[in-house]
Amino acid sequence: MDHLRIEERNLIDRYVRGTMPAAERVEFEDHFVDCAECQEQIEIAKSLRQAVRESVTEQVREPRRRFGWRWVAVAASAGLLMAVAAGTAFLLQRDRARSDLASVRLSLERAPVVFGLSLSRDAAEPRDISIPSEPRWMVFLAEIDATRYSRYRAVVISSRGDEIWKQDGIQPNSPDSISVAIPSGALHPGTYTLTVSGAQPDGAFIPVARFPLRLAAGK
Amino acid sequence: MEVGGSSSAGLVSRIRAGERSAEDELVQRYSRGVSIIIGQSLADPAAAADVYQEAFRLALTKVRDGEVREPERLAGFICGIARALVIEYFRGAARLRARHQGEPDRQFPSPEPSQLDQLLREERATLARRVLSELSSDRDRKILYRFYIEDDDKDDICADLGISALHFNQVICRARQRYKKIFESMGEGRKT
Repeated sequence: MDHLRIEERNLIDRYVRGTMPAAERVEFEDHFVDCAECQEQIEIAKSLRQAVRESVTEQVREPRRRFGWRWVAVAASAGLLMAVAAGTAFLLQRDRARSDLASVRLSLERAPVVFGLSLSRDAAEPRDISIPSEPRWMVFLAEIDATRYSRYRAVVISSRGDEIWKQDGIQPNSPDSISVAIPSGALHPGTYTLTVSGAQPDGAFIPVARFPLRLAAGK
Repeated sequence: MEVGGSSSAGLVSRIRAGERSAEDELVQRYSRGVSIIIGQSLADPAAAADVYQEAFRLALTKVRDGEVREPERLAGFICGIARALVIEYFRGAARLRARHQGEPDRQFPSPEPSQLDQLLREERATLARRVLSELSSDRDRKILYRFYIEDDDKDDICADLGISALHFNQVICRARQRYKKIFESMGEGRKT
């Protein structure tokens, strides 16, 4: 395997992203296990990818720390859940991003898309959801009995069993719902399960609800 | 660019002849590559370390015992062992899950990242922000964002943004080079 082909076929990034067919991956691994140059390129690509993702997470985390779930809770308590069902989105505070990372600004500036998840309606059949084509927060308002625990954990698991997203310490909005906010970039088309668990005082988590989701790319 | 000096066949012969330094050379030569292969499939560092140890233990045993049929393809042989062990690891994990099926689905809290992990994460994020801010245009930033965060395909990105594959490769390549350079300069800064 020569380096021109590796560059032309973008093998380094495709390997790091895990999008290579098995046969090509085997061939590439057999090459780079003895190639210092490719090993370095893979490590840089992997680190850069992780770093870009972390830079977004760091920036997104900061505004969320300041505003927490307050805006969601306020919206919910103000009766905006009806509006949620009708597809009306909330406005999100926009001027907190500290750097000029254009993509992050986009995700913060655009109104989040909100989806109501009802246990009775959604328990058996996956809920069909379109992932916004542009970066946005996707807020899932999960209907549960939220009186049993003071904190909850939400985990999104793919059909292959991979953990896609996890958030701990979620406080209920109301006695019957919690909000789970996920940046659209973290989700991809496929079938997932959003599991909500209650945090017990001893640190154990008890599952309280599962919401199957079928995500499709939005237009 | 090969990692080590000896030819693969020569290395195999020396190990079979009982030369201890040849075994060290084999481990040194393939260590980084095998780590990458295992790390690509196993996110858990402890599990990856176990598989890594087992891969080299098994590889050396097989080389000593003359089980390498094509010594000139030693690299592929070692990769094959690493891949087989990763698969075996997942099979073992699946068996364990099946055995405990039906038991209460109890989850335990994940350990918080250590201060060092947090520091490294913030450092990487700072580096990435620098790289992104140094890109010449919003379009180039968008390329990186869509490629690394949205995981969009190269072809889709090129089509949507109206850029050539060459331009795409140049942006990604420049970003990688810049990232490496800043990373190295930060390391140098620490040394002084």
